[in-house]
Amino acid sequence: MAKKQLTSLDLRGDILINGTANSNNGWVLTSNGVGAVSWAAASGSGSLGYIGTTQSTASSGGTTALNGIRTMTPDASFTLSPSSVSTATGRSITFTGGSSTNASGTGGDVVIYGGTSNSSAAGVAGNVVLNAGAGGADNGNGFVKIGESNTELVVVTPGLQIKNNLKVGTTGGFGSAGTSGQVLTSTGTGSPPTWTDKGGYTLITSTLFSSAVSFTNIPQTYKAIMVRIVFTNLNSMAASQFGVSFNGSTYGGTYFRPSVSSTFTTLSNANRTPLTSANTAPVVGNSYVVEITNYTVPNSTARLYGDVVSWSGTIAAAVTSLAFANSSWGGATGTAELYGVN
Amino acid sequence: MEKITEVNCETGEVIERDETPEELAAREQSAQQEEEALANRQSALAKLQALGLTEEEIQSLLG
Repeated sequence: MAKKQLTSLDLRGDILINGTANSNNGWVLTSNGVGAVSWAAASGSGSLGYIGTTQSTASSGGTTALNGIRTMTPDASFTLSPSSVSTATGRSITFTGGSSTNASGTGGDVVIYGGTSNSSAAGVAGNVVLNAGAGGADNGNGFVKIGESNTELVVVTPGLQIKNNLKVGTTGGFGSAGTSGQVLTSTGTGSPPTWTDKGGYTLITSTLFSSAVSFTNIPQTYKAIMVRIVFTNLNSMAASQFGVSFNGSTYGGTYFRPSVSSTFTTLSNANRTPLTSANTAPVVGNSYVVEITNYTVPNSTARLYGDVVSWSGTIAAAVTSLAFANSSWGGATGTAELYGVN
Repeated sequence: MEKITEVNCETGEVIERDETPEELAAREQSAQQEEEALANRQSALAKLQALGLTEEEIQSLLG
């Protein structure tokens, strides 16, 4: 057949190839090299329903732009991913909101949504997931970075859930997650907050007691500890010296002799550091307090506040347990509280 | 036999247990020491009073 050249073609019906039309919706006219063209199914996963006005493809290493995309309605998931390259840096993908040339205009947002769920109660909405790339052993995985340039604030609404580390600052280039129990403290405008030890008293544990009371496995994470004991009823407690011992059994732990000479000088009970006078039971309603600073190291200083006077002394080893007793408890009841102090 | 309320600060567990034989022995020794100290103190006070010291003078000595 002789070749014909057409300057325009206005199709009003089917394209027949070798006298046959194609009934498959969405198929494309495909070259077979030299020879007749044929209809074939579009290749690749999913499909782009409609791409509008313009496309421009830059040379290698540049940016490929898809401008004026009107709708993308594939019936399957799709991925935008530049091809792998052998150069030092892989190609990037950039999404940019449209600029406004109006003097009082507003730049366009970049908005990303997860898929909505079915309206039934059990429907689960899709997430927006941002993942960094997996890295090698030397440098680790990549970061998800938000607001590296031209960013006033990162606004999170309605809330922010942190499932693992919250690192602040630039310590080691990665920020610091602080240590257990620390709190975030502002450093004012212009510098990141820092993790600092929480100040004040933290109630570690408290208990009601009706017998001699002891605290074991005291956490070693505070600067000081304080124990406060208040009796509510002495019942048949003996009029004997009430006191505290450190790091041992209820009656056999370490004690110290007071450094202050007082009516307590005559220690009748070698197993406890007394909080009351010899042959004197505690008083209902009074607070008996023991404070130990630097208790996690040897030779810490303990201060005891009991009836009549207070005194201080040194404990040879780090304090991991405390026990309060007298020679006959007799079912005396009350409250014992242990505080950590920073 | 005395009971002891023991608070494990690490686990939060609170148990009330009987004192051990060692704790019983230590407590009885403690009570005995306290009785002896009291007796010594009372004896000393009586001797001081026998020497003619007043109650105020004895208290000032004991400081």
